Amino acid sequence: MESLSDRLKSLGFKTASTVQPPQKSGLKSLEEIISADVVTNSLGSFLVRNELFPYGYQHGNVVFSDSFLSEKIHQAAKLQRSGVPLNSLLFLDTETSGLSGGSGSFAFLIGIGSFSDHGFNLQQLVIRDPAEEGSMLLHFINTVLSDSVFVTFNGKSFDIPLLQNRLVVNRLPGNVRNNSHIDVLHLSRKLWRGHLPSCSLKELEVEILRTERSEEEVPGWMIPEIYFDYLRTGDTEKLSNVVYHNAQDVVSLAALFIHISNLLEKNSDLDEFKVNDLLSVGKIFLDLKSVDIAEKVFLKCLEHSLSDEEKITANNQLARIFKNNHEPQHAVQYLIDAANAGSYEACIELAMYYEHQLKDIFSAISWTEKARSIIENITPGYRMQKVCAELEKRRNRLKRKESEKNV
Amino acid sequence: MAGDSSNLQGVLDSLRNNPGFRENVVYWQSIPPKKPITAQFPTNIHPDLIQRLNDLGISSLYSHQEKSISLLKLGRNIVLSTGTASGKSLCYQIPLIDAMMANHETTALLLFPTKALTNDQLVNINQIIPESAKTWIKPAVYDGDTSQKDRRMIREFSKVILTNPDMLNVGILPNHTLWDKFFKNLKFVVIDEIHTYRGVFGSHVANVIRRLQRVSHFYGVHPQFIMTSATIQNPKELGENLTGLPVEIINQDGSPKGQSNFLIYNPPLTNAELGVREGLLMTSEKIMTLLLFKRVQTLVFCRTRRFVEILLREIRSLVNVPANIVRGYRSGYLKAERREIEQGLKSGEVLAAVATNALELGVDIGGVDAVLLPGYPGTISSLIQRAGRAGRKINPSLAVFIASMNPLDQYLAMNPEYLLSRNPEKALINPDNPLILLEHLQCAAAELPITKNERFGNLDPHLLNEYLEYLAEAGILHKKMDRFYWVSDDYPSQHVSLRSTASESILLQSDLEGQPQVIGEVDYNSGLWMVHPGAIYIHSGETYRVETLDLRNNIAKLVPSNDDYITEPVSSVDIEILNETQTSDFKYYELKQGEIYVRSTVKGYKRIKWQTREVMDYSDLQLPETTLRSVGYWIVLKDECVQRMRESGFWLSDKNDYGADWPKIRKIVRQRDGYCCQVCGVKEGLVEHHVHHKVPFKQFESTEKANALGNLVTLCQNCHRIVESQIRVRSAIAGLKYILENLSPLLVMCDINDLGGIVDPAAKFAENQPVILFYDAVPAGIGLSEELFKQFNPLLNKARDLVINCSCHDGCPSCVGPTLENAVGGKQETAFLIDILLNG
Repeated sequence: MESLSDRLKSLGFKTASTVQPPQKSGLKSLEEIISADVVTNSLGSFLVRNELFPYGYQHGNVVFSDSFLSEKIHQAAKLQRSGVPLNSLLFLDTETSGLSGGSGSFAFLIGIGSFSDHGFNLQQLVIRDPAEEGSMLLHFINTVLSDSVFVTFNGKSFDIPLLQNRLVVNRLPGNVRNNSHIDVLHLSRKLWRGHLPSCSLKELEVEILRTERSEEEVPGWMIPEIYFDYLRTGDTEKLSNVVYHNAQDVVSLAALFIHISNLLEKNSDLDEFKVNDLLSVGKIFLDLKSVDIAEKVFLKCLEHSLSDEEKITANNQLARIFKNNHEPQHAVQYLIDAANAGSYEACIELAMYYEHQLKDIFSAISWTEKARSIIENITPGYRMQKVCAELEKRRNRLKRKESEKNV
Repeated sequence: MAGDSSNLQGVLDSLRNNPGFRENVVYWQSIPPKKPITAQFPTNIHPDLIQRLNDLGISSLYSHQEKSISLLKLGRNIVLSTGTASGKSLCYQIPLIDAMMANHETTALLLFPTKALTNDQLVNINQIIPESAKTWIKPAVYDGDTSQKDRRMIREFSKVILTNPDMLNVGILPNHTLWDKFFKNLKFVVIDEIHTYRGVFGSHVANVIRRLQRVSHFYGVHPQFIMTSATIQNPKELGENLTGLPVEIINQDGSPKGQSNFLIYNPPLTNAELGVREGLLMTSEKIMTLLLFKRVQTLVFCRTRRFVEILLREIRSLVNVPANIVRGYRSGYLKAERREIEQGLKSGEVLAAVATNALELGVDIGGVDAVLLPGYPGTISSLIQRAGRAGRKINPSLAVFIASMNPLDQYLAMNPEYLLSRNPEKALINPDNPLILLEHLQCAAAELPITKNERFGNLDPHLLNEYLEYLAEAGILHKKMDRFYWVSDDYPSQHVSLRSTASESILLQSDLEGQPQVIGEVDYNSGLWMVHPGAIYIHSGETYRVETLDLRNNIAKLVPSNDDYITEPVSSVDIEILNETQTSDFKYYELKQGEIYVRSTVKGYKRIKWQTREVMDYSDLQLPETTLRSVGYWIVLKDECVQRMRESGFWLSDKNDYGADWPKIRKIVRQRDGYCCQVCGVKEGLVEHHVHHKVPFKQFESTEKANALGNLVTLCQNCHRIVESQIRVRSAIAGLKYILENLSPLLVMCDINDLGGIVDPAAKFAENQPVILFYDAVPAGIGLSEELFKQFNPLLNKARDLVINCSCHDGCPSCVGPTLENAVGGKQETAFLIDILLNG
C-alpha cells in the first residue's frame, strides 16, 4: 500500500523539510542548562528561572536603584493614573515562535522583571513543549495584578496582543490589554528619533546605555528556528543563548526606563546633560505642556556649541514657545538665528511675521527669497515641490502688494 | 424612458408572424404568467421588523420566504434555489435581523463571491433594519479594502459582517482571537451564490468553511448555514458538501412572474458543407435593432469584453439613439459609471446595456424587458440566470439565446428540451483533494492546535490522523501526546490561493501604457500548454499573443493581439494507470475509472483559423515535461468493436472523384512500386492493386496536390481495406473524443480546460486497444471524472443526438470536430461507433 507521503509527493506536494534530524540523546535537560526550576500547577508544568540584579548593579552607564522618581515618565507615556509605585511595574519581554502574526504564533519564553526589596528581580518562564503553554500562561496571569503596569519595548503592538491571543486560545480568563502600559519604544522615538539611525533596542544599548552583549547573544530573527530546532532535536545549547538574549532585553529595558526617568526628572541639573538629550527632553516637556521647563531646556542648549541642525531645532522650538505665548517680538530673534542656520521654515515664519504684523513688504520679500534659496539646495521631493509652489505664490502676492503700494 | 410592456407585446407579435425570423427559431417556449403564492409573516417575528417591512411596502411574504424563515426557526440549514429576482435576500435578512432584535449580542457572517455584491448587499440589509435596532446591528463590509482604522471598530461593534471567502481565509480565521466576541455569538452564516463555489475554488471554500466551523465550535457555537444558489442540478448536495451538514432545499418559487418567452435562435447556415453559420455579431445586431426600434429595454450578455465594444459600436451606428441610453457594461469601467448604468437600467433611462458577466452576479438592476444571449455562456445554470434578468415585475419578457457554431451551442439548438427539462449541470467539489486539504490543515493548526480524531468537517477521522502524522513527520506540525501544534514562523493562509492547487504559477505580464503589469497567473502545469511561446491566450475576454515564456522566473510576456487565429498545442502524452478503481464491462467496450499519472510534453502548436477552424501551420517548441497525478476515466474498445467497424463497409460507397488523370497516375504509381503491395509485398495478379492516398484526398484543396506522387502508395486490396479501416477507426475515436470533451460541461459544471483528454488507437496501458481517456486537469482531481464515469451513458446519448442531427456533410466544428489530419471527416464513423457502443 502506497504511503500518504509517497502519494502526496507524486501529486507534486513539496514540503519544506522532509529530513528529520535525529533526536540527540544523552543531552542535559533544559532546566539543568539554564538552572531553572520545574513549576507545576493545575494545567501542567513548565520552567521558571530567577535572577536577581541587586541595587547598585550597573548596566552600561545606568545604575539600578529603587530611589529614582518616575512620575514624569508616567506622564510622558500618558498613563491615566498617577502615583504608581515602582513595584507595580512589570518589565516584560517575550520570545515567540514567530513574527508573522495571527493566532498561531505563541510565546515560549516570557521574561518578567520587577523591583523588589532586594533589587531588580528577573523571572523567566520557559516551556519545554508547546503543550506546556497553558500552565505557563496560568502562572503569568496570576503574576499580573489588575493594577500592574507593563513596561515593554514595542509591547503595545507585539507582546501584549500576542499574549492576549494565546490566553484566548488556551481558554484562560483575563484581558492583559486592559492593564496600563508604558511602551519605552514610543518614548525612545520621541526622544531620539532624528538623532539616532534607528530606535532599536540594540542601537539604544550602544548609543544611550553604552553596554554590549556577550558572545552568548543570538540575533532575534533566529530565535523561532532555534526553538523549533530544540523541539525537534532536544538540543538545548542554542536555546540557552535565547534565554540570555531575553534576560538582556529585560534588563536593558529597565535600564532605559531608569535613564529616561532621570532625564525627565533631573531638569534642575541641566548642566549634566548632553546636547542631544537636552533637545529630546525639551520636546517631551513641550508635549507635557511644561512650557517653562521646555524653555529652560532649549535655552540651555544654546549655551553649547551646536551644529546647524541643532541650532535650527533649538531656535525654532523657542520661537514656537514665544509665538504660542503671544510674544512674537521675542520669537523673531530665534527665528533669525534658525534662518541663518539654514531653516527655510523659519524664513517662512519671518516672511509671514513681517508681512502681517509689521506690514514690512520689503523684508517679507527678502525672507521669502531666502527660503527659496535654501530649498533650492535641498534634494527635491514631493513636499519640497509643494513648498516651492507655495513660496512662489507668496512671492507673487508680495510683489503685487509692493507694486500696489508704489502706485 | 424605455417603452412599456405593450411595446414588447407588439414586438413579440410581429416576430411570431415574421417567417424570416421564425424559420431560424428552433425553439419558442412561452410560459403563461404566474400568480404569487403568498404567506403571512410567522407570528413570532419582532413587531418593529414587521413594521419596517410594512413601511417598505412588504405586507406579506412569498411562500419560499416563509418556508425559509420557518425552517431556520427550527434550527435547520437551508439552501435556496429559486429564480432570479425572487426575493432571496429577504429569506436570510428577516431571520437574521429578527434574531438580533431578540438578542442584541447575536452576530452573523455573510459571504459573497465578489466585492461588488458585498457592497450592494450592505445597502440592501441596512434598508430593512428597524430604526430602533440601528444603534447596535451596524452591518459592515470587512474585506481587503477596509482600512486598518475601521477594522478594530467593526470587529468590536458590528453584528453583521459582510465579506468574501478570501478574506475569511486570510484575514478573519487566522486572527480569530481578535473576533472572540463575534464568534461567541455567531448564529448564522450566509453563503450567497454557492454555485460559484465549484471545482478547485469550491473545494478550497469547503475547507475554509470547515475551518470556520472548527473555530466556531471552539467558541462554543454551531452556526446555522443559509445558502443561495442559481439553478443547478444538485444545490442540496453542493450545500451539504460545502458545509458537511444536512441541508434542506427550498426551490418552490412563490414569486409572481409575467408571461415569459424563451427563444433559441440558430443563425442560418451560410455554408452547409462546412457547417458555417451566420455570425453572432450580425445576428445580435439584427435582433437588437428590432428591439431598440420599438424601444424595448434590452440587456445583451456577451462572452468577451471585445464583443461588448464591437457590438456597442455597431449598434450605435445602426440605431439613431443618443449614446447615453445605449451603454456598455464590463469590468474595466469605473465604479461610478457602472453605478450610473445600473441606476439608469432600474429607472428606465438606459434603454439598452451591452454587458459581460460583470452584470450577472446579483448586481441589483431589477429586470429588463428583453435579454439577448449571443453564444452559450458556458453553463446552463448561467444561461438560466442571465435569461432570468428578463421580466420586470409581472410584465411579459423575452430572452433569446443565439447559438454559435460551438458543439455545445449546436447541441442545445438541436435539443432545446434539454433546457426545458430543468436538469442542468452538477456543481462538483472535492474538499478531500489531498493537496487542498493539506494546505487548509496547516491553516487550521495555526488557528488552533488539532487533536487526534478531531472533527474537521465531514473528513474521515482516520484520514485526518494520517495527514496530521504526515505533517508532524515533515516537521510542519509538532506532536505531543495526541495534539498537533503549529510550529513555524509562518502565516500559512497567506500562501493559499483559493483558486488553484499548484503552489508554483506562471505570471502573465503585459505592457499597459508602457509599464509591465501582471494581468493574471496560471498554474505551472497548465502554463506550458496555455501560454507557450506563440500561443494565443484569452484573458478576461481580451486576446493576447504570448511573446516569450521565461521558465526561470516563471513569467509569460503577453502582447495584445488582433489575430484571427487561435492556437492549439500539440503534446505528446504518456499515460500510466496507477490503479483501476472501477470497471464496467460491456459487449463492445470497457469503461474504467482510476488514478492515473500523466506525463506530457508540449511539442509544438498549430495555428487554426478562428472562423473555419482550418489549420494554418505548425511550429515546434522546446519545453520541459510536466507531470500530473489525477483521476481519470477511459473507454477501451474491444476487438469485437474494431472488428465490427472493419466489417461494416458502409463508407466504401462514398467514392471520391479523383480527377480525369487518375487512371494515368495510378499506373505510374503501380509501376514505380514494382506492382507490389507496399505493406505485404504480394505481387499484382489478375486484379489490379489499389493506389492509396496517404493523406486523405479530402484534406486537399486541389486534386493535383492530393494526387502528388509522394502522397500515393500501391497496396493490395486486402491491405488497403485494413489501412483504410484503421484510419476510419482513428477518425471515429477522435471524433467521439471531440464530442465527449465538448459535451461534458453539460453534465458537470466545468470549463473545457478543466478536463484533459487523449485518444490513442493503440494504447500501451490497454494492451494496444483503441482508447479514449479523460482526466481532471487538477492534481488528485475534483470529482469530474468520477461523475462522468457514472453518467457515461447519458453523455453518449447526447453525443449521438448531436452527430445525427448536425446538418454538416462530413464533420464540422459543431459536431465531431474540425477535419482531422491524416483522417477522414469522421462524422459517419463516429456515429457508427456511438451506435455500436450504445446498442451493441
